[in-house]
Amino acid sequence: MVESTGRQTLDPDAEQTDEQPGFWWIGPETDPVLVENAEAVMPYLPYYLAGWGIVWAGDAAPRAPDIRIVEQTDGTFQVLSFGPGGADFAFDNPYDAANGLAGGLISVFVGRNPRMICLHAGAAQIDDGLVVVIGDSFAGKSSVALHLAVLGHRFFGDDQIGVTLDNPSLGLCLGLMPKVRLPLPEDCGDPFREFVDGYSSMQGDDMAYLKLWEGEAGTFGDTVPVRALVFLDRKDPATGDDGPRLHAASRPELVKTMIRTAFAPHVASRDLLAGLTRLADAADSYHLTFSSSRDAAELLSSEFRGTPTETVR
Amino acid sequence: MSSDTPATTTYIRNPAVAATEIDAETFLVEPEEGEVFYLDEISSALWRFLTEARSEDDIVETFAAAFPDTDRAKISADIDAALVDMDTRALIVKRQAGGP
Repeated sequence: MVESTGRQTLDPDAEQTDEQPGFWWIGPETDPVLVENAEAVMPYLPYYLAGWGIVWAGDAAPRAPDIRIVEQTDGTFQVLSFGPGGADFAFDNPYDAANGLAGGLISVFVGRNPRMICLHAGAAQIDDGLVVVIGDSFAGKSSVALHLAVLGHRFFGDDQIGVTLDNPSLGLCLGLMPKVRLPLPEDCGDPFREFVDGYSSMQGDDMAYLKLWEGEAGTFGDTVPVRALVFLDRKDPATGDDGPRLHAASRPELVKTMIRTAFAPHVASRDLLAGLTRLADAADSYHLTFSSSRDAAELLSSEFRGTPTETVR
Repeated sequence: MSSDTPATTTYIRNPAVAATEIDAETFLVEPEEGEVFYLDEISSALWRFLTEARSEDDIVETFAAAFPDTDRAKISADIDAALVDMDTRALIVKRQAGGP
């Protein structure tokens, strides 16, 4: 769920360090995730995840861990998560392992709640409703969500959004830090460049990780009613740019997209389908055709700002 | 399928498959793996028709009557392909007339 740029094949012969692992409670006080041996990775976690409480759980395991981090003697890391959607990833360095830990924490957290799933989506709060942008890879979810933040709307996520399968549905901020691909598109505009420069907490060759101020972004656990689901349909500007167009989306189109992109290993397919149908009923549904993320965000902002938020049908 | 399948073979919905219609479009959940399928127009119509066991000839006859402007050979080929696809995915089940 979180990009692991350092994913590699595990070396079964690699030796593990023989330091005694410690245990950490990470996440909500009422039901935190237990992580084993996170010390080497923990300093980098804030680059990827914000708002998750971290409490030392001791040298002895209070119960079976939800996530285990294994540090190999060659300096690589293995992040194993258990339970529904459990995974086993290897990483070259502690930075990338922290990214893997962030993904593991979210999958364990979401997997515990049968009423909640994780959508591969971006979202921003406009007035008191959440506008969730969905689409396939490279549809522009992240850039549209970030352009909405540049326009002053509260950023909720650009990759993973928790949503309840209810009517009305609540969107839940998972605390993942926003990131943008580099180099920035030429047409992104000066305000966006300044935004990225001003908020970058870490930059690599092809990615910048941003840290927004409190109030500009939701924090882990914040919930806002889902007001609109917007299917992103990005066109190549070379084919002619008539400007962004927003029109009603068909519910089957939205449900198909959400099924393809949802993370919900803990929910039976039948229940997931029923839940996504309720979600599509609960929010207004749109299809947004665009070539410029900036123009798309401006259209969404003008469309939803200052209009009634009672969208439950 | 037409050439190899005896005329007495019939097809019916797999009762274990869960179906959801959203704005007249059909989604099916296969029970073993929980895979979700979205049906195209032909398969969707076929699914709606297979509430009772039907032979392939019966299905083609009905669809040809419903779409008189469409070439019967094309209808037959489309139905045949849809039956194979849905049977492969265990969305429908085959029965022999007089069998269980």
